[in-house]
Amino acid sequence: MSVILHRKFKKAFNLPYQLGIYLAANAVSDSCVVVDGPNCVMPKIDFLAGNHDLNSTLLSPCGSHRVICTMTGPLPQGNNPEKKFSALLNSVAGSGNFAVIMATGLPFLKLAGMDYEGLSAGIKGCVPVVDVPARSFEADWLEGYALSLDALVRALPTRKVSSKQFRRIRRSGGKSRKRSVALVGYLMDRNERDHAANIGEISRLLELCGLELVCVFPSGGSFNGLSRALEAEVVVSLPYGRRAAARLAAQSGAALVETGLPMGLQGTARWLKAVCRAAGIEGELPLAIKIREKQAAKAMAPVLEALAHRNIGYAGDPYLFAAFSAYAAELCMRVTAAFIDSFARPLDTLLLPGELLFSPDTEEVAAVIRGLVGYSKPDLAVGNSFAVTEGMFVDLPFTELGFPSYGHHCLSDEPFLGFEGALTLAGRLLNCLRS
Amino acid sequence: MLSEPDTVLGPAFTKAGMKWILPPAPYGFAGTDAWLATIAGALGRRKITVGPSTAQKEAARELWRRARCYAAGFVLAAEEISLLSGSAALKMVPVLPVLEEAGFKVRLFIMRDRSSNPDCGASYGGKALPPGRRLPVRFFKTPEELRTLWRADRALRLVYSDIRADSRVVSAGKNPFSASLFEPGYAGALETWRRLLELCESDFNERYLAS
Repeated sequence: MSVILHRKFKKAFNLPYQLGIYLAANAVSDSCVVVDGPNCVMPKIDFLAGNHDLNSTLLSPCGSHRVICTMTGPLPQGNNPEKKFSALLNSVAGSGNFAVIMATGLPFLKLAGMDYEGLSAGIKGCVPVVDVPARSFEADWLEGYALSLDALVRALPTRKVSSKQFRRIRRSGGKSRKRSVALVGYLMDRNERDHAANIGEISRLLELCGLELVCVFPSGGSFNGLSRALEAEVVVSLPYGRRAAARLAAQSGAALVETGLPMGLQGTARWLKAVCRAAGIEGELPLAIKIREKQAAKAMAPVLEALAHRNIGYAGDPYLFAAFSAYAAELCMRVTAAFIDSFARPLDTLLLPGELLFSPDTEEVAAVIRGLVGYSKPDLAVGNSFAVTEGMFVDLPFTELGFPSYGHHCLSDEPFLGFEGALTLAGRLLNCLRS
Repeated sequence: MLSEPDTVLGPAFTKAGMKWILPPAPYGFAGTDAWLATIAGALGRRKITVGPSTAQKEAARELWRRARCYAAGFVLAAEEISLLSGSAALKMVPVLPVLEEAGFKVRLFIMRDRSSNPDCGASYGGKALPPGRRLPVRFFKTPEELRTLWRADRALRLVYSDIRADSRVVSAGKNPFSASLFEPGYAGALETWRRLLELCESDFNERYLAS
């Protein structure tokens, strides 16, 4: 029976839309998601809470969870389900436990005509209630995350500042005033020290460039803290939240710059240059940045020979892949196969591996791996936990990176972005190869 | 079939009446062809039908096109030049012919002393290169002079060294390489050239570690 089911419903290397919404909720400490659907939506929290994120607060020991479901099943609904859903939203919004509510539903309820946008807009409580489009039928986890961030931007208080006002503020502040930056679309997939260290590193580097990081959207903090993004002069749009960044910049009048992830030495330097340019700082990066870059490079130097010419198999998200493949090339390593856990989307890199599959099923992956022989065979694998549980890279040294990482947690600083991240990751790759 | 000269095995095989050969090491397309031809010849076969595939030849052409911009250097004594065509010192890898086959330019750096023959570049060749073939030779007297020569040579991206992360090479912004990067066979030749190009195209040492 299970064999037949497996043939009919292949297990794709992709993650559900709802999970993206939960990731966003997990990254905003006082947010809540209300899902119109049966309680089968709840176990998806286990991908995250306690397994990937040891510090997740999505589930509460006293029952005030930050993901709530209506228990509505596919059976014929009672009269006026909208009223029931509105009452629940009202009650959650008025509970005093949360600062923002994201409302969404399962696709069959959307097909039945539930208007989550209208229902959310109709809640007039003390905290904002916004809908996240019910698109789990056709969209993946990255879309779920992106649309949730977009919903959170919609929930922010309107505080539009025009470009003209910005220029005035800048003039009044004089030359020494720090220019402010918001990072929007950061994949804050867990509240552990890898991300804390990433954000710390990015903040320090921007500061050395004369820029103040006023907000990382989201960064595990409160919803109120996200409104600081509206104060930023420059909105840096990271790939996990392009739509949210564009909306935020349009709302605040900030300059918008789309970038990839600041990964690797040259990747980070290029990223800083792009942000500086958007902030009106032209020319070379400051000496202090160059010194930090060189310091990291010198610390990495002893591992270069051991890593050079190694082939890597990658399994994970497409945006991390784009950044990682450039980082690997910087170390003279090659990604020879990549399995992307999302639907097909453009990859922001020219370094495409010989084998590249989006959302593949386990048999397709196995066939590709079998075909990787001789000099294209990977020497080590880099990827998320499913690369291991689905047996993608059997018998290969494995560096767990990305979401989810069940087997690798960060209780102390372990960045993977910025110059410090380049160094830390090089150490992880070496240890993995030598283990 | 021996992979390198052996003062014990060779005579022992001969004494035992066993035919034995010492074919050239199978590195590069030409070296692999020669290796196969030697074996085929020893087996009495005149023609060998194997060779690099069309795809491999195509891949090689692309690599050769890129390799033409770069040069590899060897620091050695004049009497060591012939070793570059394959010797026990270099694990029998014909480093120089494989580099040249791919289109890399080669530079020899020789420490000048009283015994140095200023025309020794001309003496290189013998078995591996056509008669009269010359290689560019640069002479130096001190490590500083050598370093200056390296730094002045923009095309020079690789310098041979068996020392791990040789700081003399790295601090000049160049990339050390050794015989351990070389792989046998047709696929191995492509991999070798790919690795060498990866090093040539990496500016890590020049950007960060050069002093």
